[in-house]
Amino acid sequence: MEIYGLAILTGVFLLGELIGYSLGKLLHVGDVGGVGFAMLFLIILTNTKFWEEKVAEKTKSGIQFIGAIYVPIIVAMVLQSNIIGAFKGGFIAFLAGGLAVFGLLLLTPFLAKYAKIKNDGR
Amino acid sequence: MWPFDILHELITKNGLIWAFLVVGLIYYVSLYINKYIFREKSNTFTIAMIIAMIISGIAGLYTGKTKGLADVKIFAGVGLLGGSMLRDYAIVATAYGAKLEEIKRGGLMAVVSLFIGVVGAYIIGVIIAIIFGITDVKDITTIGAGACTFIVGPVTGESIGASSTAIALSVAAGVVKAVLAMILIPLMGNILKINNPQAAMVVGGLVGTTSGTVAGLTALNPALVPYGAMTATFYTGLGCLLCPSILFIITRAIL
Repeated sequence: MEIYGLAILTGVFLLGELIGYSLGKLLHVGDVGGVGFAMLFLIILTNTKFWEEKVAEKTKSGIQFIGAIYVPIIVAMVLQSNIIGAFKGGFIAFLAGGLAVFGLLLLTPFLAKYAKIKNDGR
Repeated sequence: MWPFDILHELITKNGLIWAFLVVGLIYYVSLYINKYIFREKSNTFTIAMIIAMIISGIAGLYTGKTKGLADVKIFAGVGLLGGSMLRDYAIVATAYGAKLEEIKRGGLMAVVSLFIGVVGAYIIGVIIAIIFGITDVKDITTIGAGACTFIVGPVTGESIGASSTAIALSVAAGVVKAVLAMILIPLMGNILKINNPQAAMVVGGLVGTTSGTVAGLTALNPALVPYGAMTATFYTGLGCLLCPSILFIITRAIL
């Protein structure tokens, strides 16, 4: 049943968040990559032979459904973003935030290229 | 008028499912704008996002609060749909179908890019703060942290005791970063060759702001989202770790 998919997703989500928050507590910060750990668990789980062979299609479609509605969720997220706050911060905020994203994005090709060369040599 | 009263009550009561209709309508309008105005040269999601930004901006002006359309009473349901619970749950779901080998291939560079992303954004923020004549080290550090994400800024500011003005500025810097990431990633995606999982993982580490990275990558190519999102979700934690500690101490020593 589809609900199994949702249940499994909640399971990995909570497990990931548990690790993220525990790590955060250890380091005296908030959440350290809880969602990232959860994604990693889901990927590991769904790349197993067991998942391929034994798990019902309907269970899988439960997870795929949530994955599919994530686009409208992102639209809803943008709908509640603080656009005015971005403008109100004035020039300092605009330059600090803007250059941080623009400048670092420019590094992408170099780092991505290195990722591949590194691995091809292995 | 009574029909409107009933409608109003129904909408407020069923906020979440009402949000499906609102977002669905925005998406539908975007589809037609893309088809007839842009002749399918753009994509539906990008247009939906721009419309959402405009609506959110207008709503923000109208309410004077920080949560865009979600602060308008009858659209409060949008806040539920786009809130962190469903968002994080759905982001995890996008990992379904991602390949473990791709993650392994990009893993090392993702970690490297996370550190470059946090330290780089911090340095840029610090330099801008100094250029604009801010002299207090705590305030400078806080603005540098704000250039990481809008969470790292206030967390850092509060833990080192920066002024409330600096904390507000750091939040604004982080918000600007998130909004610009949504716009710049799809715009620069082709030039920067963000067309494979490893590049997406690097982007997640360099840009870091989860909402911006995820929205930007969705507009560029939804298949890349899980890879970028996975790295990006570690960014805020790393920023909260480095900014108030090592980076603050180094900055104080230099200035």
